[in-house]
Amino acid sequence: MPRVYWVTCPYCQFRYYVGHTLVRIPGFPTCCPRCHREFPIEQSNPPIDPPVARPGLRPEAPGRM
Amino acid sequence: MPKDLRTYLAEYERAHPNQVVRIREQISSAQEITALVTAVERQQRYPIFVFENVLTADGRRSAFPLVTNLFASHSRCAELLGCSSRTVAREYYQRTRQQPIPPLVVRREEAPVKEVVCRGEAIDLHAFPAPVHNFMDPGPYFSAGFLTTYDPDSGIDNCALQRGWMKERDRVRIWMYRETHNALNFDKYERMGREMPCAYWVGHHPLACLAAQARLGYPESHFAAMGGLLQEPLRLVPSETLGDEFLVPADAEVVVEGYMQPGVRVPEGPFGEYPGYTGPQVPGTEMRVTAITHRRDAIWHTIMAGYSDHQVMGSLAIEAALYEDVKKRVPSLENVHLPLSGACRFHAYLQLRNPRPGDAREAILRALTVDYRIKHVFVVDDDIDIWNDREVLFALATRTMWDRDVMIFPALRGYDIDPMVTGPYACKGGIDCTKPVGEPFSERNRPAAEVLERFQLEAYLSTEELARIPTEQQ
Repeated sequence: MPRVYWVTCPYCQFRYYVGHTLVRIPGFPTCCPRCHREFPIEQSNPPIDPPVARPGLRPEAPGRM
Repeated sequence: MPKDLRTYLAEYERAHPNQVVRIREQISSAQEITALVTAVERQQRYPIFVFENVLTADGRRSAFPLVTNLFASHSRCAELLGCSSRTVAREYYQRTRQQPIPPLVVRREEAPVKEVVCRGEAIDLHAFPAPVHNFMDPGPYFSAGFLTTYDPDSGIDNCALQRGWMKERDRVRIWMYRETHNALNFDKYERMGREMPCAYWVGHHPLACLAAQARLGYPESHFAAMGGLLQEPLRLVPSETLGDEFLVPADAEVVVEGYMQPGVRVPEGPFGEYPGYTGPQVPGTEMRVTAITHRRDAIWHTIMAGYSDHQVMGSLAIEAALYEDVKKRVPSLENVHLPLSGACRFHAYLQLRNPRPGDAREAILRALTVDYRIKHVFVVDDDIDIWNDREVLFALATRTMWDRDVMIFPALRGYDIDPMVTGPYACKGGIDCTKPVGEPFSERNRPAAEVLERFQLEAYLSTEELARIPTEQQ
């Protein structure tokens, strides 16, 4: 399992990384460190690197586990 | 007068005027402070910096000065305890573990940290000059904030240096490693479905900060350990919004009170951590701030996250635990050191005097279980200076055969902040760099002792002539 996954913010294009503990929680959002917008990692543009397959979002309780 | 940050700064500046640098020019807390401190650190200079005119991350001029780099020098830390770098680990252990002093509770009127009390709309974390340290950090952080919680079963306090992103004026996103005692306390609250009262305190006498990192059992009081290191009772005062039973340091510069929500996880980070790398964004917890109390002229303390200040600060508590633990099983242990080259966590140098057969390997086994951050143990003889990496590497080069002297242990406990760790486990190991016990071994090159005894360099080269010869790092 990679340690870091590169994400590009779809709003401000800032490139940063998230950890495996975040990636493995279905539907858990990421927060851009530059513009502070929150979005699902699937919206990274270009896509998250390396690619990760995870179950769909849990819209009923984003940010909760 | 009780010991606090300002009594220390005044005393230290009097004794070492060249070691306290006051920057009066305007500087931004958004990475410029890091740029300045690290430029000086690259020249192997580690003064205390006081920034008197800081722009906050959102561009306001902060009303508060900022102090940093208090712990960047190992010898300064040793001087705090009145001893040398060679003996500081033992002194630290004795005072925090064997001579704790219970804290003292004072009235609110006696507590400098209550001079200003902010609640409701007056709460504004972003008024403080907390830096954005590194390029990927999402905002200003508590980097010298000691997060304090109480075990709900025993009522015993726990303090820990835990990073907190000041996401909003009244919200902090916190990362607590699962092994920490604050995380254990939160786990209990979550199982009860209750929010956990907690408080950050910022700015205190450096001895209080060092003792707040003591490696204690669970649950054991950091406030008592802080008294032990300060050699006077730590003064505490009831909180404003967490109940009278929740006590906070009365002589801190700033206290931020709040509650951590059960069941809530939020993205936290990335953050530049002590290994010298930026750690990834991770699920963190969230603190809802209910009050901020501070001195009228509060000094904001920050640790240069990921640089010497941060690395050296955390090393004393681990060195102390390492020395005491290994010494019990390996009496030939002479000294221990966690060098900056291993971020003061990953490498442990152990020095033995007259080891018995098997001592080095036993010391390695023991050392790897003292603290989950220690990854590589190097055991050397007492003619090797463990405060000099070059000497240790010399022993590694000339006293080891790796088929015989290397011990490797897969799947020990890992630590998420280690940039090589990708799960719960890490591979750790040690190398016996001591001379073979009981066997004849080559002598190091040196002039005979009687020659060294009568020889005086000054007879051939004056101090001035010597100073004119350029030094060179090889």
